[in-house]
Amino acid sequence: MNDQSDSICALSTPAGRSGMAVVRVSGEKSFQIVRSIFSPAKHFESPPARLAMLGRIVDPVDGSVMDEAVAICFPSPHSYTGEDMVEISLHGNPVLVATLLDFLCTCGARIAEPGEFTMRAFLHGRMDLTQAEAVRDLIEATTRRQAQAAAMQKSGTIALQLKPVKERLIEIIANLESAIEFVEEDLPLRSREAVVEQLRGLQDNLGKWIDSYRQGKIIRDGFSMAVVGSPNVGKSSVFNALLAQDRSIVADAPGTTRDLVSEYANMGGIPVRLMDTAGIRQSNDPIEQLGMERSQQAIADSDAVLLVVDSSQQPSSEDVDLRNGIELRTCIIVVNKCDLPSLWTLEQMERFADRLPLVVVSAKTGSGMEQLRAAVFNGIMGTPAGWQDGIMVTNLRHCRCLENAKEQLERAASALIGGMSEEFALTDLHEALKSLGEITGDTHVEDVLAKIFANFCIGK
Amino acid sequence: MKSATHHSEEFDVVIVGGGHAGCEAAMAAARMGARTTLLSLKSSRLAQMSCNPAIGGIAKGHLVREIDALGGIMGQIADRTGIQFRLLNSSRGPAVQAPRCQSDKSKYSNEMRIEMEWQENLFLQDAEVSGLILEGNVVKGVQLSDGSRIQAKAVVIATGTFLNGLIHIGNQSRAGGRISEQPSVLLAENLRALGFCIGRLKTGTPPRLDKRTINYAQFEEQKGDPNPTFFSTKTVSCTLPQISCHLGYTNERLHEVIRANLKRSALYGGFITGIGPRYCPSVEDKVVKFSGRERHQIFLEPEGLDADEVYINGLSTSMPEEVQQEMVRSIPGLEKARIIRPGYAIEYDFVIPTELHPTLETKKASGLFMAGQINGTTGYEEAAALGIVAGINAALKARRQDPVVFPREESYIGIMVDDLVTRGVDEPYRMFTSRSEFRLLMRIDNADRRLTPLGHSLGLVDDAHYQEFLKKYQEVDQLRDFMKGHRWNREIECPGLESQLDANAVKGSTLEEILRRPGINVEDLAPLLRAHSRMPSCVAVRNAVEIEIRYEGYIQQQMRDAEKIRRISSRLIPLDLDYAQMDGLSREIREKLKKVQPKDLAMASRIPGITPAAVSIIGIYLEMRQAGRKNSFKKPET
Repeated sequence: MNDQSDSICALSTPAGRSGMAVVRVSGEKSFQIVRSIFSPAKHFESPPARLAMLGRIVDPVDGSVMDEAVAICFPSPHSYTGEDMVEISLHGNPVLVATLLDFLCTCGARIAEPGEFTMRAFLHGRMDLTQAEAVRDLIEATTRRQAQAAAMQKSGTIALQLKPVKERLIEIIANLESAIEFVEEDLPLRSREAVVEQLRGLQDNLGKWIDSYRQGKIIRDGFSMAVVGSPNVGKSSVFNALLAQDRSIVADAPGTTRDLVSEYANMGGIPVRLMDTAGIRQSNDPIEQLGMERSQQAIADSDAVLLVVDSSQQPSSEDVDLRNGIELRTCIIVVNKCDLPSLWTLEQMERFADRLPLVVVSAKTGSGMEQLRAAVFNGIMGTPAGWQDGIMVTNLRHCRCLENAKEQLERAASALIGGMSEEFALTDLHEALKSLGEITGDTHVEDVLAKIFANFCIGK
Repeated sequence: MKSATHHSEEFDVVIVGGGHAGCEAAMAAARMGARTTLLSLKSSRLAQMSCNPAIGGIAKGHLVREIDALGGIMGQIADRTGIQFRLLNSSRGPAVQAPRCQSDKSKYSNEMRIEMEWQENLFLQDAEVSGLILEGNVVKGVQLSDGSRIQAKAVVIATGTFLNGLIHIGNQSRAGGRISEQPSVLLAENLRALGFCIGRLKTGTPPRLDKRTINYAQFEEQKGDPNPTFFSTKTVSCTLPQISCHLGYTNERLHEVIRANLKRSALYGGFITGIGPRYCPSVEDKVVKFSGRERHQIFLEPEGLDADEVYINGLSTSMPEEVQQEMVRSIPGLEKARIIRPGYAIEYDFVIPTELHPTLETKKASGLFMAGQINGTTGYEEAAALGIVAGINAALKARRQDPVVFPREESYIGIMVDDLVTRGVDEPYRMFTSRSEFRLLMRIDNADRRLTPLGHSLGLVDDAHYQEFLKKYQEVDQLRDFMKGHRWNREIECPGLESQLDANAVKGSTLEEILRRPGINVEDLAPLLRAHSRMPSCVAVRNAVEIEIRYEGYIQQQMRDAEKIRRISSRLIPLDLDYAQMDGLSREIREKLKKVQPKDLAMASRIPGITPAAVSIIGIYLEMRQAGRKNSFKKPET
């Protein structure tokens, strides 16, 4: 049973890309939680009731700014749930939304179960009977969904893959519990060092899966990539070459693409939403300016960037500005027009790329396009650690459970290294088991006892 | 000695059975002022230790401390008759340390009988109960096998292994509650006839040897602790002389004897249907299931100071007597050992504990309580703990007062009762510390803090003792506050302390911070504490402060978790809640809920197979009901 005193958060607009996304936070601590990730442009002593506050979403760990957003506080009882609630409106980009939810969880919220907001609203008397009937139906649906999920677990998903990890954890727990419960028995128990080593192994496993969450999200939600560059370097040609179809208007006159053109391309089985953007340059044309604004936005919203330069022209100051502006992002440098004589030296190219992957192509002839596709795929998937094991975590709640479990294993390991008695480490190990249990279904203490009695001959 | 001989007499509470559960139940009920009678087949043989001559151990010692904190009797009797005391897990943290003692069996039984004979409101009788007297579903008393009746407002059944007891030695089986004692067959039939769901369990004992025929030189001596840790806060020192136990091992020869005769063992010969505990396997089981092990430990434990009988812990068996003899004699030092009584296995009836409310009252019959092995547990301590719960609630029932339920997050007693009534059992239930989600909070040192206020409010803990308890924790709390606030002035206070601390840990530290440094205890701060007149008066206060400060982080975390459970537990489920009315619950889940009748949402969530969504649905119905909107959730007629 979920604790009603927790603060919960969830995306309340449809998932996927959209103009705006609204994330809701509800619960006693929601103001406090939002305060640690949202920095309003104007200073407020206390959260203003039902007032739209412009501000920035900041990383609660390092303070870096993620996005601009609008937050509205709804103090209890005048909110949807009847609890203190905050609605945060931000750009409708799944990556931003996921990051925001992640920040909120870091600060003490948890991801809401399906229907939980509505249920809380009902429990706080914020709904009439007809609505309550709807809640009941919703929960019934949840039950069915859980039944389906349980059925899925039997057929080779994350839960099934987690099972051996859970088994190993139960074994470690059984080993440590035996040391406590059967101190007078002559049991062949493992040394502390060996147990810590086992814990490290489990942590590595969980770590890989947590890393795979990003990749898993990409597989489910896809991935967006903006094609950017100075005017007339051939962005649209590259875009079309990747799509292998004529979608963008291609012309020699700079500034042809004034609006955003986007299309899904298939890169190694992953849907990648490519966005062709207007060239970035100084311009007084209001239409062109509008297009460029959108381009900037696309760069900000996308998961990665293809920066296209033209090797038949001397490197421009705009190229360098762009290059510097996207330093920290996942980016691939595309040196286009290699069918024409190059005015860039190899050294210039390398200096320009500065450790970023660089691919030389000709969108016109198709030369180098395969290498570009491969580079895009690798760029998206990163180091495919979990990917190689065929493990993919795609659910944020699961990812949080894994992160919690990993942290609890770490605490247990340090307790053991620090010379604490087994029961302290076990407190964290049982918690870790519970965290994994939230994904795979619960484990009762009887399972641990069963393991003890199967492994050891107990009984004086 | 008082006794009640008028069989038409009326009592508030009748206890059936004089084992560890029955004695504790009888004492609790009588101390609470209920006119109580304890009926047993032989009232001269109360609180027998039918199995090993020891009380306590890890988790079991916790239970005894809790019984003592509530004002029960087991701890005091165990201390008075203990002939070896050991604090187990003494090298580990405070939460898993627990006392255990070897007991003088006959003295234990005698002391208990004397205590009970002197107890006001308590009357002992020899009688065999043949059935219950019910009016509708309300218990009114018991029927005795001699045809007479005893009326009562509440009845506690604590019959242990006597209910349809069947003893096995090799292929020989005979009815019996203990070796050479009659079983209780009529009552077992009566309970079946009343519709109680009955299961069958098994347990076993090892052979007893004649002390004079053992060559102890072949064994390793095990002494008790020089400074014993007792069960009761009232005990100050040992009463009896202290003795040693002896450790030895089985060997390949003995294992060969077992393998050669396996078919002749009651267990492997197919004579036993009951389920035995995994943690107390017979030696046959050990040899078969762990064939890779070359030897298993055995302990020679004297059954008493003057007794000739020695209990071979670790050699529980149901082999024929001549095979037992051969097994024993294959152990070095026991070549000439004489078996006084052979080991045996015993099967007995128990009532599936999901038939019980968390008060240990049966759901089928109001005023009828059950405690001890009949609830599916094993062990003297488990039995006594259930006994005190049943005794308390039977006395409250007789007075028409609300029952007491022991919350799971507060005591091992609460955990055991909750496990039994929500999950049932499929093997004899034994307490383990790992059964507790809040192990770090349930320590032997704070059993009094957890339970003595309740014991006092029930009238089980007298005022004088309660005042002492209050004083102790006042001192603990004051000392903690002082240590939290006081910064160590290293120039003038405790100058010797500096050498024990690493330099960077010292500057501006509070005493609390200093106490958290490894290897530092309250004793090291003694000069400073004395200068401020803060030195604790007793070891118990010192221990409590050290534990609370040293493990504060872990303790706080578990207290927060316990608080969460408490919040969910506060959402009570009325007994008449109609699960059949609840759409959205599967038939299977409805049936489970109907059977267990959880008393609150937290308990509902612990029933095996109940999903979180199901718990949410119940929560919603509860809210609806509270708002008086119950009818609107009914399914429309189709």
